[in-house]
Amino acid sequence: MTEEDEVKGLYLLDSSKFGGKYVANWRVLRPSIDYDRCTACQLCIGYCPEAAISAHQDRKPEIDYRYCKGCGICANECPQKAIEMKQEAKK
Amino acid sequence: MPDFDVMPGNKAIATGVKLARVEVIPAYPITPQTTIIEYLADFVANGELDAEYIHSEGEHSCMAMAVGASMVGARTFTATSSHGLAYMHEVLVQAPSYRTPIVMAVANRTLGWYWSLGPDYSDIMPELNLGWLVNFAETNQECLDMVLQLFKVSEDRRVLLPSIMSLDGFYLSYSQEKVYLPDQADVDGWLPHYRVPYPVDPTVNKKWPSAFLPPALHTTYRRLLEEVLEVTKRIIDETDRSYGETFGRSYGGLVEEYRCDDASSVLVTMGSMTTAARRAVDRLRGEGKKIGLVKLRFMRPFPKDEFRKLAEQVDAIGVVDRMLLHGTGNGMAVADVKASLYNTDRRIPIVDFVTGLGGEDVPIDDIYAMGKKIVGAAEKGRAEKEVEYIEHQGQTRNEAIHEETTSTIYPGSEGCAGCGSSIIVRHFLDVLGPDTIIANPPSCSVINYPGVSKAPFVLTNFAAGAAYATGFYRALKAKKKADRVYVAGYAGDGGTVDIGLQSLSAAAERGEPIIWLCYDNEAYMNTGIQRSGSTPMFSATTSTPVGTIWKGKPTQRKNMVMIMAAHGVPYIATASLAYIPDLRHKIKRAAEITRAGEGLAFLHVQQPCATGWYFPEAKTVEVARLAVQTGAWPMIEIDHGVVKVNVKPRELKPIGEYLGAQRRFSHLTHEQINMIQENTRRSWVNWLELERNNKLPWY
Repeated sequence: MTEEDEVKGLYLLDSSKFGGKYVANWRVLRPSIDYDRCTACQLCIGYCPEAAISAHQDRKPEIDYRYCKGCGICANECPQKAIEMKQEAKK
Repeated sequence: MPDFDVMPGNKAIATGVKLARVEVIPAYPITPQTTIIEYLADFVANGELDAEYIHSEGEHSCMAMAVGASMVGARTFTATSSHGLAYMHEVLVQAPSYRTPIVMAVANRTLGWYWSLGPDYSDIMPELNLGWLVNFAETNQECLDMVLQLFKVSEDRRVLLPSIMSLDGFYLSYSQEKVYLPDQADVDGWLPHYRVPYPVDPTVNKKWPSAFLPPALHTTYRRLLEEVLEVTKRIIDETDRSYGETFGRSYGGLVEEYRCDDASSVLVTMGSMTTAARRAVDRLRGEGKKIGLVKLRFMRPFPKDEFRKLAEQVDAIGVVDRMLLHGTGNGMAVADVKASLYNTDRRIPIVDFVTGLGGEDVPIDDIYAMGKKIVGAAEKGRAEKEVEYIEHQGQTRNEAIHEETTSTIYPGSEGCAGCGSSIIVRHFLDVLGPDTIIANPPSCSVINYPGVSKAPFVLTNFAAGAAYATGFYRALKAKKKADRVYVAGYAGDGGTVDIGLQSLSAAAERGEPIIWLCYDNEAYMNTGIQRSGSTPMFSATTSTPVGTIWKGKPTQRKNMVMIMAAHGVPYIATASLAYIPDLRHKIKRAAEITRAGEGLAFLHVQQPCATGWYFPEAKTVEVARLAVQTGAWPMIEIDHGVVKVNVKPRELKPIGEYLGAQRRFSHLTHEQINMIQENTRRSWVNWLELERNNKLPWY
């Protein structure tokens, strides 16, 4: 956008500056994946409301704890019971 | 028992309504008013108030219900805020000429755009000039007392006009204060039953208020209304005095003067900021400044004579305005103060202080600074500036982590932990891609996703989501881009089946190629779990609570799939967040059909809500799956009229498994569970029957 295009008094959203919302400080319980049990079915990836879980190179899920609110849906849905919710360590 | 309680302003209002023995209460939720109608629902649900409570489908209807009820002769109350008030506007106009003495609470909130939940007077000021009495409260006690006073004034035959009780959102609506409670017997004696002079009731009366008037009489009848409003000023004063004699509290009528006796300058404030202004004036008085305070209690009728008298005593007036009249450079209160003083002999400096917009606090220090300026203007005989804007540094809200992602939506959002809508919206945007415009009527998603979506997530007016989407689509079509950009609606159940239904129905009938996704959490979750037209039978919500009389929502939900099917739209599907591949497939199919320009595609996705359905947040997907497996949420696809049931369990699980997982159904009796079971079974059999018949006959 050039300076000429600027509209005085118009408050804009700029999606090029958007990013993931840091929500880790909401978390009370912390999911932890037992990779020995995980079969890489990837259900947890599709169900995570925060898109905090993505597939690792071996197709197994990896949690980005910056975005995890600790809702526990992944642990509840895991068919292998490979995800455990543990009390978040006190800061 | 003590004769007081500690309560928020909204409860003080509701308590006043209860004491006034209001007979009809039309209601529609909007922040920050909603808890008023929730408290009233509680009173009615528990038999503490014998009133007709109407769950309206939008504010326009809500006010129409109030006018209708008042015309027949019922004492009527409703409440709203901000955009709800603006949406009522057309019916608000009608109320004074039908002479309906409705009392309405307006919990002030900024009128968008720009949106804010916080209070300023941009919502109430556009409604001032319709013939309603408009009162502003400073305290929760005043809220309660003025509900009673306003009914008395409004129902007076010499007045017979509707009233607005204006209270600052958050500062009063949600803040706790000590409130003295009048005795019911005293109220009954002071405020007798309302007797409408000309009820619209053919069994007792052959006359009723007309909507039409020959043009030649318009000026005359408008003048008469002005005369009535002039008389009303006296009746407001009388009523306040009589209230004081009976209940021991009075407020001074149209204005209250504070430390004005020997003042050479005054500040004029309204609403809750007045309390801070009292302290600021005290401080200035402590420094020897001869300043007073005028609390503008009624904006309509406007206290013209009071200001004329005041202008003879003081040398400068400062007005604190919590809104702007765009295009005039100043606020509303100062405009009225100035207008009332023009035809007087004295010219004194008047300064407008514009502050507290969007709900920003108006602290004592700021008012102290305004007071100093106005003292200076009085001394010098002139003001440096006619209008002063009191501006503060803004603060940024949320930390965002900018990283590249292939998805259309970034991770994290401001939704509740375990939010089902967050699951749905991710797959929705992921399938449609960034070249999509989302029309997003007010709902939780308005707060949660615009800041993380790469596709424009555009807030629309509540009743007009599909109309915005139509505008987006038609403009793209005009610019030959309709084949490159998807136009979608992402709406909750309120924005789809209630207030949004008219514009959605029209878009469907016109064949607009829009993908409409309704994420249905089966209540108004954004305002705090009020029932909607999509709330299932017997569900407890904050507007259909379980009490001694009410037992949750008494009626069935709308069958939205069949409503859309009746429009003959090319694609309709229900989906569940527990069945992600199916959900993604249906989004894709909807995209294909709209891209081909065949018409509207309607996706109805159930969204279990841990917050509003009362289950642990880890169970969102589990509850969604149970809904499908018990038949509570059948998975249906109607593709060009051909019905398909997508998920067919060999045997439906007992409905109790689904209901038992949520506390909103915890009050159900065995009979009620059996009834839901029977309804579910019948609906399931019907769908299988429709599938066997293959195509709906009208397609």
